[in-house]
Amino acid sequence: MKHSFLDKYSNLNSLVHKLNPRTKIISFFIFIIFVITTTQTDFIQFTLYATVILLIILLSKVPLSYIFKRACVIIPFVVLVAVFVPFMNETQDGFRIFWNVLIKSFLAILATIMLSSTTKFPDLLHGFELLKLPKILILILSFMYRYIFVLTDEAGRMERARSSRYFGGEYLRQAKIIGNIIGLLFIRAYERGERVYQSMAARGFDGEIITINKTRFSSRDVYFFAIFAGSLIVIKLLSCIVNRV
Amino acid sequence: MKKVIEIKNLSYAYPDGKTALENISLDIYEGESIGIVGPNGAGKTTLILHLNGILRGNCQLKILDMEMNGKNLKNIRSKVGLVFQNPEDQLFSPTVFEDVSFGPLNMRLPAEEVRKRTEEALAQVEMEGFENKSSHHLSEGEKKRVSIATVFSMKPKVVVLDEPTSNLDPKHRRELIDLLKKFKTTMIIVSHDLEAVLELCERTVLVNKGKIVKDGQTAEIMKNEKLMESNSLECPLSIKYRQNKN
Repeated sequence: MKHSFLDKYSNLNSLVHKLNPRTKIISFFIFIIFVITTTQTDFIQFTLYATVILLIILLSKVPLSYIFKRACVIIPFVVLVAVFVPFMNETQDGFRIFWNVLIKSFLAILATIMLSSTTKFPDLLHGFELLKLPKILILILSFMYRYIFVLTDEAGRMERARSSRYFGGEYLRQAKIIGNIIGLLFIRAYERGERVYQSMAARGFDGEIITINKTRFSSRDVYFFAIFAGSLIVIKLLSCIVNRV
Repeated sequence: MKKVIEIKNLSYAYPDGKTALENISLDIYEGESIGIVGPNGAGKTTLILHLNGILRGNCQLKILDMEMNGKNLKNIRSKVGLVFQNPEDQLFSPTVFEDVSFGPLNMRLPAEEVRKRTEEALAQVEMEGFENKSSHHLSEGEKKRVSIATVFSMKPKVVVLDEPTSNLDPKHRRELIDLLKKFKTTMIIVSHDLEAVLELCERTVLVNKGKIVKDGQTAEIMKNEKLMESNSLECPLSIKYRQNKN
């Protein structure tokens, strides 16, 4: 089966795509920190940050519909907060908390989507590795990326086999069977892990993870980072000044 | 001729007590192409897993004059390349380059040497230019070829292939067989594809219920209808056809 999923638009050719993964990762974290440290009522600052991220989205040539569809992943969390709003002491406070969560998670998810859709996943992992993320985490993430489609296919095959012999009704029994399928999927994944380990051992793996990855920075990275970080700092400073006054 | 693998009285039982291999003795010489055939559950895969120390039975096992023990294990693994049946198990890295370079990197070779070997290995299996592809974007045939490259980059003295032609369409099967014909290293092929074994291996070992039933010339064994059928196999069609013609 063909899957594209995580890497769908990482093959486009935009300014953002060509940046070094490390530049994008660092810019991402700076953006998140600046957004999180904004007071919830500072609407102007939020608007300016939103403009920055929207500019990047436009530069990246990733389709807007794709981005906003992926952004809907924050809806369950926002709904969860909304459910607890009536339990706040004052409704004013409640709405402010809700707005706080909504705007910050929205801006953060836009930045995350930018990072993940303009960078090929293996390159993203290399970037994190060079930024000193523990190798064991990188290994786990790379296995996840490698095998998620294999597992999806496996689950798909089991589901096909089940529905081919399903003639309607008996929902409770079907639920039990689907539970069995999920358990079986886990067992198969576990056994695959054993076989992959044998494969790794057969090629000399002894516990130490060794890689040779070096991506280079170019002037494009320097300019981008200078402008990006610069604008964020200017926005933050101006807001501080305006609020003092 | 030099012996690359010496097995004397290998016995192995599964953790649940069931016997998998019984008193296997086998000598493999440099440059040979050997086919290992037998019914399902005969112990073929169990046997080859002993060749690089993944399984350890009790016996005398020598690979390239090295005893199979903890000290020699790393060295043996770099000299005996095992290609597993399912490419999904053999290819576990995000990109082809990382999979093929995994072996040489574990051998602690310098970066330049690793890159060179990766390039050479991919060229040998005719997959140049695929370095940055992800394994799940490859076809079955391409995955099989990259699986072989992952082992070739270690420059092994012995290459062991478990069911190399399984799940391949006829065209890719033919390409793989032609590719394997070009290799000059000692090769051990475990396969149900008897025609492929006939084409590639001069010597065949027939295994059944954990024992070696016959060890000899491929053509001789495969012509023997009684032997083949009493071991849940059958004579390859090409031999039957030749016999009928005569």
